[in-house]
Amino acid sequence: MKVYRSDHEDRTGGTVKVGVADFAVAVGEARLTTSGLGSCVGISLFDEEAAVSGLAHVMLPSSNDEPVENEAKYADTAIEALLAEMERHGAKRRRVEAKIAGGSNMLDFTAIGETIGTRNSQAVLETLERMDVPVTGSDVGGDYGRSLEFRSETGTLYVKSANEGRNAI
Amino acid sequence: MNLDVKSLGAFNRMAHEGANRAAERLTWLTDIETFVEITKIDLATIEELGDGGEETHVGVRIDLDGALTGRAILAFRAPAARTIADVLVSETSVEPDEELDRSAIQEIGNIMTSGFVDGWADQLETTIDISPPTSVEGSSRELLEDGAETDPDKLVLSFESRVRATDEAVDFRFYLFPEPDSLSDLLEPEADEDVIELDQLALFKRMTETGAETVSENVTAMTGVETLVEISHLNFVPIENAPAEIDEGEHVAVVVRFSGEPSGYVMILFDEASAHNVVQALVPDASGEEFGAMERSAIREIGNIMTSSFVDGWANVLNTTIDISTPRFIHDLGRAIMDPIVVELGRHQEFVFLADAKVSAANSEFDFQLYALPNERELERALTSLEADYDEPTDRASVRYPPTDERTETGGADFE
Repeated sequence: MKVYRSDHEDRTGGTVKVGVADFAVAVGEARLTTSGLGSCVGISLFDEEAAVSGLAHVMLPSSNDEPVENEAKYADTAIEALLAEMERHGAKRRRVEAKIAGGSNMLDFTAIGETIGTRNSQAVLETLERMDVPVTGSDVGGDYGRSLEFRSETGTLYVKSANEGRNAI
Repeated sequence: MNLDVKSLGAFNRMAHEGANRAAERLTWLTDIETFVEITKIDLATIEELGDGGEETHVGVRIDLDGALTGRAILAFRAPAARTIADVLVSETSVEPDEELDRSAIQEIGNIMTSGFVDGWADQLETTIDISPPTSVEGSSRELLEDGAETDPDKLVLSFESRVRATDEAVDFRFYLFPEPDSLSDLLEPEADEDVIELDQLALFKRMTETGAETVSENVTAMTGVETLVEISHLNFVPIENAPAEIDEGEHVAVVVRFSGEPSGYVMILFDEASAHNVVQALVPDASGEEFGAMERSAIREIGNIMTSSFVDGWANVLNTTIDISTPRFIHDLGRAIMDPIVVELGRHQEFVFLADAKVSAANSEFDFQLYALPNERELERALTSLEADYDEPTDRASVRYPPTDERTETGGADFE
């Protein structure tokens, strides 16, 4: 397995951890994990034929077209960058499928308009649609946190939560 | 020393880059995947910086000179020596050999520390000279005392990166203790930046400590169990890194949002066993099993008193009025609980001054962690407006509480 991160390249090893506002791409059989999703959204992208997988953990919906220091932070820039990185390593966009999880609404302090979790999920879906990447699995919303593990051998995204158990999508 | 947030941010990125380089080198040499979980700038005493444990750590120390002067420490827990030696010399070493283990750590430490310094030098576009590495061994406190070369109870500004590995034995930490003068030269604030004096940050840290002590007193009064503030930190971290301060397990938390100058969030975090024990102390009739309505109510109530007394301390020092929301009870993955807070704050800031304090019961029945995450610009304004010769809190300030009949509602819209 080769691993390419949002800020670094070329590592090898076992399970790949993805932080908040971070993404990683792995070539070959891989397990990509990220933990502690609340309002954040996790997006797994997978080109099965090329065995290229990617996982992003995004914090905010949009960069508003402004220059950003960390493109992995925003749904729009993170998905574009993740897809580009996967293409650099052999993925073909037409074959890439997406699964998403997270975007919950755990703290209801705002109580006005849509919550940030909902807006994050919507921004992810809009970006994927704009990039013609179909969403084949989704586990978003609710009022609880999630941790994710993507396994390339089956293309499954496992979603673990404290109260809802484990869900495979 | 004067600090501005932009420079602190730039230095945090440099330390992170340095840690990334060090971690990459470990991965190249061992094929063990690594991940820089958090890089933070910490204002704390040496005693507070160490993890408090007696566990032996091994590593290397180097002295830096040139554009950046100071001392860096790379520290592994002792079992890492065996793991790394196994990976590096497994084909030649059959019997465990302590001497060989140590030399493996020194060799790999040498390569990693030079990577760490390269990360800084590249970002600063300059040269940093390093001394030959020296092997170090001892508790984390002993290693850090050696690194900081100062009194254990004196506040020092340091950089810390925590690196996780797929083989947990080789998780490591990197500390950098810059010479204060060297840092001031590098941290020359830009003319248009608001400047915070180090003394003001030290005051903010004291506010956190004092607030935590008030919280501790209130908890003791309510539960009848003696409690003690163990440690407090003031960290400057990329906002997305803040949840990594919490372990990945499930926790019980009370969160309040406060608004005023500054606004922000306070979160009181219990591990599940501690939360049960606090409930038992408060409500002896509670089931002690699940967090039902009675348990939630008890936690929410004590959380309300804790958070309001904490914020009250801030309002007094800053001589302002701070409103607080109704407390929210959450039982979930600890990092996920902090996630919506950093997402909300992250809309407007790249970094956060994360203040935290650990309070423990003397009988070890429970402990909890208090985190305060203020809006960065508002905190800067509040701190820089304090008189330089600030002395004692006044009693003119106040905390405004939500009306009693709204305390169980979820809206909190009055505090928008």
